[in-house]
Amino acid sequence: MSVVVQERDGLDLYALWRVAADGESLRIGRRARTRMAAAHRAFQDFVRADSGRYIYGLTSGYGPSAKRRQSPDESVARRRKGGIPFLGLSFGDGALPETVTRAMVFAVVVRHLDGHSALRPDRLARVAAMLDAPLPPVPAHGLSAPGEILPMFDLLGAREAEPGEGYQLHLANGAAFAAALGALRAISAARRVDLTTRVMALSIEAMQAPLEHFHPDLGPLWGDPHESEVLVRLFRLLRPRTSRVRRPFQAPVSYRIVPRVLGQAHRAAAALEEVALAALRSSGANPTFLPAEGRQRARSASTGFFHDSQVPQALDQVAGSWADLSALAHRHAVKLHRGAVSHLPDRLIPEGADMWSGASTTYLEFVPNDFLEEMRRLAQPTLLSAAEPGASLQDDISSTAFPAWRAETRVALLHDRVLAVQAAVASQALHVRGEPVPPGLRRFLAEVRAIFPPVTERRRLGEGCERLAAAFARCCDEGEASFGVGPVPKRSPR
Amino acid sequence: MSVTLDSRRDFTLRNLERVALGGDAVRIGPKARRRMRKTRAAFMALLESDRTRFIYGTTSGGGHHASKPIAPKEQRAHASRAVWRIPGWGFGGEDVPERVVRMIVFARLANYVEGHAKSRPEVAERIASMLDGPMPRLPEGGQVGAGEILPLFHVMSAMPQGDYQEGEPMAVINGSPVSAGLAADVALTSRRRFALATAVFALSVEALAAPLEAYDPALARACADRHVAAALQHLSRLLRGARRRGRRPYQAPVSWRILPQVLGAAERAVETMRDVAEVSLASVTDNPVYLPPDSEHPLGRVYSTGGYHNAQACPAIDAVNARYADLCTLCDHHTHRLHDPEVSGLPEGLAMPGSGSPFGTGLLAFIGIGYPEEARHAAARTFLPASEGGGFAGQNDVPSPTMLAWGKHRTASRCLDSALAILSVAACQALHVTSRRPPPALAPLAETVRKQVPPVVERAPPDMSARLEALAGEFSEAAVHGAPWLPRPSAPKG
Repeated sequence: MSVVVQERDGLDLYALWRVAADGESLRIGRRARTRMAAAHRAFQDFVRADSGRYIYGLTSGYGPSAKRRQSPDESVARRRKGGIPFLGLSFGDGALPETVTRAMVFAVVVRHLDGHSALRPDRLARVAAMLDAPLPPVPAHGLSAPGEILPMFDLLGAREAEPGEGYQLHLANGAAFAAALGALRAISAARRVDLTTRVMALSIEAMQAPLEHFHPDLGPLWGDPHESEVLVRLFRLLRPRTSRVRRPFQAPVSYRIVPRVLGQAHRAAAALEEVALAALRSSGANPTFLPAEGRQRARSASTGFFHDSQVPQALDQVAGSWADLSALAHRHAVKLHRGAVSHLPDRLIPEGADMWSGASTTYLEFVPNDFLEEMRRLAQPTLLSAAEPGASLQDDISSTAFPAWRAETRVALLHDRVLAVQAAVASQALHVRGEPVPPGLRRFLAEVRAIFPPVTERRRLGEGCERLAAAFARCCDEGEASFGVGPVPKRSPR
Repeated sequence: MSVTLDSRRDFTLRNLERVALGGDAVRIGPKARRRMRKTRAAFMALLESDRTRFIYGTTSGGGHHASKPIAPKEQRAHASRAVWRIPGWGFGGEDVPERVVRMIVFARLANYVEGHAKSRPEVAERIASMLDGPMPRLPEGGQVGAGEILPLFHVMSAMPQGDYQEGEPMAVINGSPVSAGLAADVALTSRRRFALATAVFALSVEALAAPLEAYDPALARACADRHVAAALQHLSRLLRGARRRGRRPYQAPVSWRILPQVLGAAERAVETMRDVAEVSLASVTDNPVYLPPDSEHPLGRVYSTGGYHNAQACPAIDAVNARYADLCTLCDHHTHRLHDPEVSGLPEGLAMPGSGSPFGTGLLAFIGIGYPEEARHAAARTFLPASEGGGFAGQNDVPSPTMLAWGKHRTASRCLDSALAILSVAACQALHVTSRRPPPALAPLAETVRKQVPPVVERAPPDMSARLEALAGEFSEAAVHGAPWLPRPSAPKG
C-alpha cells in the first residue's frame, strides 16, 4: 500500500501514521509534481533574472559564512563537493525508533509539495523512495541546534548532491522534524487520554463514587467543550449502575475533579493535534521561495521557518497533564487501600486474611512515588536557551522540539506505569467488593485481569504491573487496538 | 456607571474590565432576580421533600465532616450560624492587587444569576454591593488548598452582614471564582504585554536594520499556522515605512528571524488564556450545584461536583509564563548582539561615534542576563500539589494551585517588562548612534523610551538604574491599563 500525497491542505496525521507506523510507502502525486516542477522553473528564472540577489546558501555561504557572497561558479563548485559537509555528529541513547525516522522523512517530503523550496519533483521522489528500504539510523540524543540540521546530517547526509539541482539546503532547513514528532505524539496523546479515562472510570467504580460527580448535565454549567466530552465518556463507561449500594456521600476531591483534570488533558491533546497538523501542512524553509502570485512578484526570503515554537509548547502541556493525572491516579491507589475512606476492607485485605497471606495489593501504592517524582522533574516547560549554541554568531538560538519530545515521551511512559498500578488496585478493589462492573467497563477489566489477575496469593506484583504498563504503552504509542481503544484510523475521522 | 448582570452571558472579559479596571459597579438585573427567587423556591421544595437526603453543607457537615448528617431540625440554625465566615488565615507575599480582588468578586456572582447557587437574590445583591467600596486585603501567601476556600475566606468574610438560610452559606465560599479572576487578570494583561513585546521586537528589527523579508506577510502562504501568520502581520504593520535602503545585506541572526515563530507561540498562549478566562468567568462551579427543575426532575437536582477545581487556569497561566521566559531570552540575545559590532555591524557598545565614550550602553547587555534567568524559574510548571494537607478523613486531598501559577506570573511579568525596557533602550540607542528614525508606527514607543532614558551621548546618566526602573514600571502600567503609545495587535482569525 502507498500513501499518495498531492496538496498539503489535504494532509492529515493519519497519513503520516500509515507511512511511519504501518510501513506503507509514500508517493508524490501528479498534481504535486506538476506544481513543484513549475515552481522550480520559476525559481530558476528568478535566479537568472538577477544573479547578484542574496539567496542564502545559493549566492551566499552557509551558517557562519552567511554574509559571504558566492559567485555562480563558486556555488556550482561547492555543490560538486557534496550536499552536506557532515555525515553525522550526534550520539547518545542509541538510535531513534524507526517509526520516528520514517515520520521524519514523511514530513520532509510533504513540506515541499507546494514548491516553496523550489526542489525538483524527481529529487523529492527519491527522498520519498528512501521509505522503501531501511532508513539510516539517527542517534536519539545530541540533536538540538538552530534549525534541525543535526538529525538531518544523519538522515540525509550520505546522499549525493547533484550539480545544477537548485537549492540543496532546502531539504535540511525547515521544521519538518518538529512536525513529525508532534504528529506521532498527537496520535499517542489522544489514545492515552482515552485509556486514562477508562482507568479512571474503573477506579471511580471501585470507590463506588456517586455518579452525580460525573453527570453530563454538568457540562453546560462548566461551559468547556473538553470537560463536556470527558463527562460524556466517563458517564457512558459508568452507566448503567450495577452496584447495589453506592457511597452515600461525596467522594474525595481526587475523584470529583477527575472530569476537570481529564478535560485539561483532552484540551492539551487536541491542541497538540492542531499544531502538529499546522506544522505538517506548512512548507516554509530557509530560504522560502514565493512564486509570483496575482500582483505579487516572485521573491525569496531568508526566514526563521526552520524553528517551530508551537509543537514544543503543545508537547509540554501534554506532559504536564500526564503528571497531574498520575498524581490523581496515585491518590486513588492510596485511597482505595484506606478502608476509612473507601469503605472497603482496609488495605484491601479480605476479611479473615492478613498482610502475610499475600491476597492484597497493599504496598503496591508505594511504587508510583518514584515515577511521580521523575515526572515532575521532566514535565517542566521547554524553554529557549540563553546559551550560545555554537561558534557561528548567526546561529544563536536552538530548536527545542527534540528535548520537548523526549521529555513528553518519557513522562508518558511513566504515566503508563502509574496507570498500571491504579488499574491493578482498582481491579483488586472490585474483586474484594465482589460487585459486577457496568457493561462499558467489562471488557476493559477483563483485559486488565488477563495481564494482572486479582491477587489471591503471594506473587511478584511488580512483574504484572510492568507487563500491564507495557501493554498500555503498546496501545497508546504503537496503535495496538486494546483496552477498548480502537485501531488508529486510516484517515481523519472528522 | 454600572454593569447589569442578568445571565451568565454577562460574564464577559469586557464587563469584567469595566468593573475591575474602570471601577464600575455591578447591579443584579430584574431577570436574574426573578430567576433566583424561582429556583430558590424550587430548591426549598426539594429540601422539604426529604431533609435526610445528602446535600453537602446543608444536610451534612462541610469538609471532612461531609459524612456527618445534620438533623433536619438543626439545618436552618446551622446555616444561620454561617460557620464559613472565617477571616482568612493566609499570609505572606505581596497582597493581590485590588483590581484582581474585584475580578474575583465579579466572578463570584456567576453561580448566582441563573439560580445555581440555590440562594435568594438578596445574597447576590450583598455580594454585588461589595464592589461599591474598597476591597478586602488578600495576601498571596497561604492560599493553596482544596477548592478555593482559603482565599475566599479573606474576600467573602468582608461581605456585608445579613442572614443566611439553608443551602446559602456553602455557595458563598465554594466554586472557583478565584481561578476565574486570576485567569481573567492574566488574559487582560497578557494581551497588552504581548502587544508591547511585539512592538519592542519590531524596534529591535529596525535597530539591527534586519532584512524585512523575514517579516513579509506574504510568507503566510507557506505557513499553515494562523498564529505565526498573525505575528507576521503584526510585525510587518509595525515596520511599515521602515527605510529600505542601507539595510543589512544578508540574513539576520536566528534570534531575529524566528521572531514570527516565537511571537506566534506567545500569541497562541495568550489566545488560550483568553479562552480559558472567558469560559471560567461564565462557569457555574458551585459545590453542591443546584440544577433547576426540568420534566424529569420536577424539584430540580443537587449534585456534589468537583466544580471548585479549575484545572485549565494553571496550565494556561503556566504557558503564558513560559512564553514570557522565551521572550525574555530573545531580549537578552538581541541586547547582547546589538552591542556586538561583529554581529550587528553597529558601533561597538553602541557608543556614539567620536564621543570618546568607551562603553556606550554596553552595560545593558550585562544587566539583561538576570531577568531571563529569573523568568525561567518563574516558568516552572505548576503541578497539582503533592501535599494532602487539609485532607483529613480523606476528603480534601487535592489542592488547587492557581494562586501559585498567578504568583509566578507576577514575577514573569516583571522580568519581561524589565527585559523589554532594556532592549528598547538598546534599540533606541542603536538608532540614535546611526542617525536613523524608527518607522512611524514605532515612533510613539521610541519617544516614550527616550523620555525615560535619553540616548547616551557621552556618559550614561548617574541615575540610569532609576530611569530603567521607571521605564519598566511604565511598561507594567501599560500592560494593565493600556497606553496611547502602545500599538494594538489585532486578534488572529480563528
